[in-house]
Amino acid sequence: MRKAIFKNFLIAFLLPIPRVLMSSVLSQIFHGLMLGVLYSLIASGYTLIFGVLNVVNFAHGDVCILGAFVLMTGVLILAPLSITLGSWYFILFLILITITVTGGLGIVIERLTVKPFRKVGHMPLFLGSVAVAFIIREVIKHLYPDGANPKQFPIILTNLKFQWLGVDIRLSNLIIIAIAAALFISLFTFVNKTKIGLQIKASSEDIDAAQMMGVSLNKTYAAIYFIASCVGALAGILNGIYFQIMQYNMGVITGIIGFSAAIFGGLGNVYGAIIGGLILGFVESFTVAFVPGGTPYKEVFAFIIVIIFLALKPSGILGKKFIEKV
Amino acid sequence: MLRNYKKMRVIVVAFAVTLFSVLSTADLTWAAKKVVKIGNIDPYTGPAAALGLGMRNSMDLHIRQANASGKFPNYEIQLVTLDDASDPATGVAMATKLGSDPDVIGVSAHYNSPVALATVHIFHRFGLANVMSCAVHPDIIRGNDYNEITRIIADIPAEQAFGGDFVIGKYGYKNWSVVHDTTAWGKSRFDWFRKDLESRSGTKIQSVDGVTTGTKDFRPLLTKIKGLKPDAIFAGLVIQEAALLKMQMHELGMDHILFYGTTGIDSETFNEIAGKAAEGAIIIGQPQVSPDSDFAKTYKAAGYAEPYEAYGPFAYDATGIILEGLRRFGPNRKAIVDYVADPAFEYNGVTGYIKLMNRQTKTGGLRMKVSQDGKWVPFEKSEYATGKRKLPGK
Repeated sequence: MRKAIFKNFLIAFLLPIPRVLMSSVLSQIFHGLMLGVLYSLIASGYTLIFGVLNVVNFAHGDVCILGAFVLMTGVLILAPLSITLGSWYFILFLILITITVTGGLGIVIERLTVKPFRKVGHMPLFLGSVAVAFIIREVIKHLYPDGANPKQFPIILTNLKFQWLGVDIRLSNLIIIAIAAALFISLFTFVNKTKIGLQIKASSEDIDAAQMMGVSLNKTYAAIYFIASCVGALAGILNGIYFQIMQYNMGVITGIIGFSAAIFGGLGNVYGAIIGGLILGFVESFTVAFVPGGTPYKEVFAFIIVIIFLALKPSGILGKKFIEKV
Repeated sequence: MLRNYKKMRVIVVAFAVTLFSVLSTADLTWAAKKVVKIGNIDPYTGPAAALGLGMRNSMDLHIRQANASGKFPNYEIQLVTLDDASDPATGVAMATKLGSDPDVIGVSAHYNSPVALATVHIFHRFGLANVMSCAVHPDIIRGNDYNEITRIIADIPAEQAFGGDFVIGKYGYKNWSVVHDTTAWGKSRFDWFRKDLESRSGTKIQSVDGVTTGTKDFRPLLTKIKGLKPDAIFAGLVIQEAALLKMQMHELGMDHILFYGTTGIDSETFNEIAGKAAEGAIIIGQPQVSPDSDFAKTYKAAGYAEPYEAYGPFAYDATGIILEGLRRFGPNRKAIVDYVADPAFEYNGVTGYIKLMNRQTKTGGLRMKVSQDGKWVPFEKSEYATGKRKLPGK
């Protein structure tokens, strides 16, 4: 009798503990996944441009934020349309407009800061992208109403939430993951199955040979910047939906982390960008959750891991070794 | 004779032209008003811009009124506005710029404590009075004996003791988690919160986490805190981070845990960002200026794009103090410094009666506020005080 009572007491006392721990660990995994997905989206923009053009576009983080602000401007101006179109169609319309406008701005950036310096060297390209980043931030700050202050991002997806295995999940988070997954699949399909995608791939492998086969460099460069800016705009929008806040200078830190994820995964490899982003997201999340006093150092931990890994494999997780004959 | 006349005419005309040229470009300030400047250095950009712009506008309002009042017939008073962007290095550069300008007779500078800590030595070196309407780190005043630095609002120790009497003493929140930013201000907030908490029995801090300014994602941290089951979270954060923390608390189902913040988030921008998630948040608030007061009406009539926020009335009074010094002693930096630092100094402003002890005020009209229906409401006037709504966990 006493043994039975003791056994039941142990079961009643011990059973909840793994459940609580499990829901906490699952929650942290989910947070890391969300962060990682957002980093991967930003990293893929960097890697798209570098993979073909051998150019690091330091303005990409700010292009992502610009995309978010274009959507916010669209909400301000076009809000009455939501009554005519219905909210879902309006949101879809807004996102399409935002992506297209930001993609178009990407082409403008390429024409003004990349095309004139393609044959000059990397330093002017680097300086050009830094200048563009600065200009984007200042334009948002001065042209968007009260642009210097943080803004609540418009609530364009549902705020419904539920619990699964003790993990609090917003439906909008699942939608973000779904959109990101669809985007990565679309990118893969585009690069490998479409004519322009194959031209881009050919240019990345051997730009001179591609030209000799009739690939137009101007169109290829413009297409890359357009696609990367579209991806960046979507990344900015999803960032805004997840964090529900936007500020003109968020592109600085976002860009640094996204760029680091791209390098970590292997610059030029989209799969590498995804893996790099996910790993950074998990490292940050787990550092906060499980390292005592680790909260203020989450980015430090993430970057230490990046540095150690790059010291062992400089080309990144999925990057290829680059051999230059001299 | 005729030749002499012509020669004389040429000389007279030449003399007249020369005299006219000299007089038209001469500095005739002895007949015009002397330009006198009052400086404002606050964040007009960045996470605290809402508060900085409110203070700037309030100072501008007082100076316009002073110029129009006729009380300063010999002076044209100008406001010099500089943005420190909440950055200490920028603040030092701006303070040096103001100190180097001999027309600047006094300033009211800095919302952020780290910036104020960096510039105290600059203002002391230039002998320029900084009548502070914000920046509550105790070391700004207590860490030196510079008569140039005075403050007309309560500092962190006073605030924390005041807030502790409410949340711990009156409402009995005993088990705490702390989230603070890693700036000097945030660390000081935590230090003085801890000291106040430890002075009260039955209390416990279950976790302490520092976050860097600009942190957006608090979910991993809040998930960890949720597992510890505290009664309340003390947020030593500024507006953006605090709003995100509260939003994500709501998202993670932590509405039963009290969110307790400081005067640093006494701004409607917090409620705008956090939205419905802000409901039930408690802060130590600055004295409220009535919307029916002359200050509020005049500010509204002036048509500024930004509201005056929590610290605008203090900035208005800080300007009034410098102007009073100008009226009494003229544009004399040292005299104005000595006037404000004098133990006998007192001033009646829109925020009430101001009396400094050791160059700063004590509690100075602090009051607890609660976020109710998207606005900060003085607690005693809220539905939480009457019992119609319940505080988290109660």
